[in-house]
Amino acid sequence: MSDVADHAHGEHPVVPYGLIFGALMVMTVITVAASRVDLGGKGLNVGLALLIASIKGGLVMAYFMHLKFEQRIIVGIAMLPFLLAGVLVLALFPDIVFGQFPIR
Amino acid sequence: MSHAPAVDPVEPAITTVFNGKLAMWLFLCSEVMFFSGLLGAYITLRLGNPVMFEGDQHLLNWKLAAFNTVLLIASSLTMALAVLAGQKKETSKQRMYLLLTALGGTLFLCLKAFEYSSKLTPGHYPEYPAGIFPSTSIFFAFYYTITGVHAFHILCGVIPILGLWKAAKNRDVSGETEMVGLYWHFVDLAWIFLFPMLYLI
Repeated sequence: MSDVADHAHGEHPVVPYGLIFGALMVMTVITVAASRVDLGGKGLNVGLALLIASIKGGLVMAYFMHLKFEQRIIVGIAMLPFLLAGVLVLALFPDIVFGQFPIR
Repeated sequence: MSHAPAVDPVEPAITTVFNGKLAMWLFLCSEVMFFSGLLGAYITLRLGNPVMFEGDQHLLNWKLAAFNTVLLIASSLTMALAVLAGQKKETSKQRMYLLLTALGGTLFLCLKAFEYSSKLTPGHYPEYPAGIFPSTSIFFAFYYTITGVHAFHILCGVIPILGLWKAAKNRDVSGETEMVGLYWHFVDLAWIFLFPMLYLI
């Protein structure tokens, strides 16, 4: 596996891990605090929670998983399933969420 | 220092990325679909039938889960530092951070077991005197399935991390550490989405 080690040794970008960790902590606090505040509409609460979670996730992927420093092909491969999953879930909304088929 | 037996290096599929890293990313893509299926089903069903899900979420211990979130993010930090130390060939630092990461994951699992224990035994919740099981309600079916499957992923991460901790003493495992690091960050990522969806909102 020396080939593996050589490639790994080639890149160690300087990443402010502590800073990113701090940002993630702050956003966790915000997530909890925001959920305790009723934004007067379930959709807004869900939307805000998902937004904050996405930002946190983005930070983890960009800095901890080094996507910010990776080849574009890897970023593309990593992003694709989120798109597909989003389509998969949203495609079910017309029937199950907005539709006339209540689950009994 | 003993060296790994010489192996013919396999030509990388993408020349700038070593095969192991590419393979792990492809695997993580399938894992995204896996968790999205579960979480997506929960979101879709709950948005479509909110009445069916009412009344159960407040029984969950969100404070414990919030601590677990902090714990997992901290373990992601130690994992990233382990990868960095491995790349710089600072083996003892790498091993220390690997051990800390494994400890974080193990503590997460212990807290999860504690979280389940009061639910699975009768008499702790007046709303469900017989105990809370996956069959109790659709909310708890999702709760147990999603958190259970996630906890299993944590377990499947802790074991290789301990393996790396052991192997790093004898040879260069920086590449493998990076691969396992990607997996570990993903499991943290999954929890970052799971926590608000199941416990808070």
